[in-house]
Amino acid sequence: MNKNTELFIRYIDHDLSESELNLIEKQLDENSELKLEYENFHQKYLLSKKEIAIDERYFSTIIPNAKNRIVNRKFNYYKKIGIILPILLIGFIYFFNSSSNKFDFKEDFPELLQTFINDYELATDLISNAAHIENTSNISDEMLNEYYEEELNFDPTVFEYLEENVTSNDISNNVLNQLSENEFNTLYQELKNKKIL
Amino acid sequence: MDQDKERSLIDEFLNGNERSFNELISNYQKNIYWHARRMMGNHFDADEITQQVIIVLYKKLDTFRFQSSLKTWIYKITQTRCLNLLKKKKLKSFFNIDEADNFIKNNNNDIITNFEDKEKLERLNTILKELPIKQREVFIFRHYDELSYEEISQITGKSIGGLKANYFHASKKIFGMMENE
Repeated sequence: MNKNTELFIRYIDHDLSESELNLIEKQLDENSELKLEYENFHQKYLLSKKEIAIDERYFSTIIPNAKNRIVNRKFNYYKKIGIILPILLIGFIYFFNSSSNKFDFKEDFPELLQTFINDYELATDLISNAAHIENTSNISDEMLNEYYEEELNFDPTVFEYLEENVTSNDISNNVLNQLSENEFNTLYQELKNKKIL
Repeated sequence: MDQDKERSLIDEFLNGNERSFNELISNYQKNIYWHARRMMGNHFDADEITQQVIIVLYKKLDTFRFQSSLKTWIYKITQTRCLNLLKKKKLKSFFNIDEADNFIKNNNNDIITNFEDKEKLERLNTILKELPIKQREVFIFRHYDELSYEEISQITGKSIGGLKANYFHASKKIFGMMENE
């Protein structure tokens, strides 16, 4: 790069002091070689700034495109809300349903009992007969509940329910009618063996 | 466009007049595009930045407090977007993720239709890319956007002395390279 270029850059950029400016202008007037050098530089300067021909139609599309994106973003935002909100609602409903899903004796106990019948036939007999015996022999609910818990591995939630809400009369009314005499005797013996009676 | 006119267009837009926004932006969109194009070196990124800036203006114009001129505010948003994208690209190139660059190379959807102009711009872009980012941004602001050092200082937050030094070094390199071509 020519040594005078630095001076020309500052000259064009109006970055010279007054004395420097006066000096260079005087030299440009007097020194034809320097003047030619400056003109070459100035040509390059102008060339670098020369406007470039462009397709002006592009600029008429910028604002509509940007606005479309704004609308699409809003739409996407609502779409996201539309997807997320129902999922959250379903989640909440499921959560509250499961947490407030209280054991309904009348509806749920027979079904639960059926499960026990399938898996623990003897257990069913014991539950039923114990209740019957209690009904006739004044066994306390507390004793029965303890027995259910220890011997039959009751689901804790069911046991809690039984402890709080179900009296042995409920059980006897719902279940005992189905027992045979043999089943009754088995349970009776079992309770005797466990020293509950 | 004078500041009073700008202020009244902004007020009209904030009161729901979309046309005022269009008029306001039409006045600046070329500046935004060309600044971004020179910073990024291609149409694809410049177009993306231009649209991003317009979206920001559309959403945030209500926060503009007229403490600076609208012009410097718009340039500041544009420059921030450019620097962010450049950082992202640098990171991508570091991890050899060059899908976007390949797309740009293969993308002929440019707004410069004249082949000679395209070549000239390519040459200038090659030279500009040789500059460190700080020098490139000052050179573009000063040489192409024709902003004063005070305005550039407001946008970049750098001292006027530092900006002048950067511009001087950038000019030396650029005109030096042009001389060698």
